[in-house]
Amino acid sequence: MNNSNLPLSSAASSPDSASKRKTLRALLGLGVGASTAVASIEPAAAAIGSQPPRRPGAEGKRYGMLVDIRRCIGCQACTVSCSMENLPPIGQFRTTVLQYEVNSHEAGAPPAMVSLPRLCNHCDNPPCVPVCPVQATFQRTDGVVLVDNDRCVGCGYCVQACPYDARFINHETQTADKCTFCEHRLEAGLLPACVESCVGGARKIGDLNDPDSEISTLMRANSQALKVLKPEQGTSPHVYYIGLPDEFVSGIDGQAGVRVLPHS
Amino acid sequence: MDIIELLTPAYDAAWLPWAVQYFFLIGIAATAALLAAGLSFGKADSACARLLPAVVSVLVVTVIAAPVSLLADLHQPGRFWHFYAHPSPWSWMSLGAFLLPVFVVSALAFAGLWWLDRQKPLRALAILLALSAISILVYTGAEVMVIRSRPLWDTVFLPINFALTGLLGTLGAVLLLARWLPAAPGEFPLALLRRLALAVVIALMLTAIIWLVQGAASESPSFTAMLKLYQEFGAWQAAVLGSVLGGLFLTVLVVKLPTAPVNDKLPWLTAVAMLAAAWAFRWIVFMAVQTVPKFGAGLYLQSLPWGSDGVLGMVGVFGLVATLIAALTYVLFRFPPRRSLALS
Repeated sequence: MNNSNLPLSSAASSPDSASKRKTLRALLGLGVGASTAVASIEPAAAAIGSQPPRRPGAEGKRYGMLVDIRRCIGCQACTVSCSMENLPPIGQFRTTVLQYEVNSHEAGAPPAMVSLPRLCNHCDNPPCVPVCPVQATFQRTDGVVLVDNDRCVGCGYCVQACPYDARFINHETQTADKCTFCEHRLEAGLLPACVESCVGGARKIGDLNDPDSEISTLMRANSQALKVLKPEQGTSPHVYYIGLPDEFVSGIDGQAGVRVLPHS
Repeated sequence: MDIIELLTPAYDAAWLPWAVQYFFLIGIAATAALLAAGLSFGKADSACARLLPAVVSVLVVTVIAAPVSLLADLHQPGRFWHFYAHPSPWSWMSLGAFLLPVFVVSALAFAGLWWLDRQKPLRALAILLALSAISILVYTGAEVMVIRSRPLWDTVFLPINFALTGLLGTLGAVLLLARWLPAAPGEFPLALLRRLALAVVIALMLTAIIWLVQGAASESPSFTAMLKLYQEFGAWQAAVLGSVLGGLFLTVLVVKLPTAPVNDKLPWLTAVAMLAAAWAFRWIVFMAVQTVPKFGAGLYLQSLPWGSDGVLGMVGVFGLVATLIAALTYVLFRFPPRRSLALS
């Protein structure tokens, strides 16, 4: 089994480092009385720009998503079901499928369509979290990045810091809003709305710490084809793509679509 | 591979024009504080001492108006106290929330001591004020510079340019405000202001050249992103050419600036040009850069609303500044600083 090319996933790590990381996570999240370990972590957390300690989440898990672009038909069922589940204002989206026409110029190949589902990447090094001036946005030990919108002051700093345009200021709550991996559904043993409604089964969610989970198995089987968006940003995204053309990894260099004026 | 975007959502600007106003005013306030602190060590009746009243006035006006714009840039301004209930020392913005009140209080205390003509405590406070002003320049610059997701911001040249254009704005504001302050004819040291303005303009030119050479040599992400925008979009070509022409125009104005009197037409035009340059730089840095996609092609279409999130907000801030100037000049006419009383 060759999984050395798997990007940045705990499921992909060697058993040795994975167990070390688990121990570290347990100490970070649950602080099981290991005062020496906590003391060694805290000075780092105080440095400007460093990640604050994570808050408790689903014990021992690290959620991640795998999106198989080959199975996405661009139907936007995920966009609609997410909007019905989470009720963002009209015109604002926690997830959506961006669509592109591509021409590879290969002999005989007609122009094709690329559908790129986009959502929060629930990064392991989320740049949105340390910038928050009031700790309204935080990461849990299970990797889920959330916003406490009772605390959020709506400064927009996290929206700027996210390299993926995954965050927005919700026009109704006037606070930062984003994909939560439908953590309220995960907690109840349900799949996120986008995963459940995906007609092609393109979206898979699961525990990357569990080597036997469906997502871990699929990621091992497709280890050579896995990609993440903007790996050069050092964010360690935990939404993985299969079938993502290289030209889409770090941003589009192409022709902008005809756009209507944004709502205001 | 040719790529044509077919469907993307509309992305709003998360930082509103209020942010432009805040960075404009705080840039002026911080550099005015540095300048005032330095001038306070000048001898009585020297050019430095005669420049101080206008600099202190600029400091008072901008240091009061700036936090108002900052508060309004929050989408939840009523929750500003969360900054103090949940301090987060790893965030520059959180540090700023603690540095800013210190700066505002020391600036107003400095102005009070200047009005009372208490030389010794004034000079002691000047050192604290200068340190506080530096902390403001560092935090406002670093806050924007640390955002890696926007390569145009992610460069050390941004805080340097914020500081230099802030000082340019300060000198412009001083030149403008001096017309409305009580002073004997010929008292305003225009020659000193001209020398300072020339130094700032030269420093800005040098910074631009170093940015260009260093960026081209090292292919820094910031420079590369700028080059791509310049090559692809007419609006950015216009911005770059406008900056170059504006800089040259400003240089000519500063060189031509007479040594007296201050309320002539040329000082007025120079003052407005200096302020406009400082403001336009921030408009491009904040509003124009937010239309540059982080992932997609082209530029985002973002409209400027007429209401308080847009035009009205900006006009409102300028209105607040005008009101503060009117109030301050009235107070200074009615209750002249102690030193003037002693002289008369």
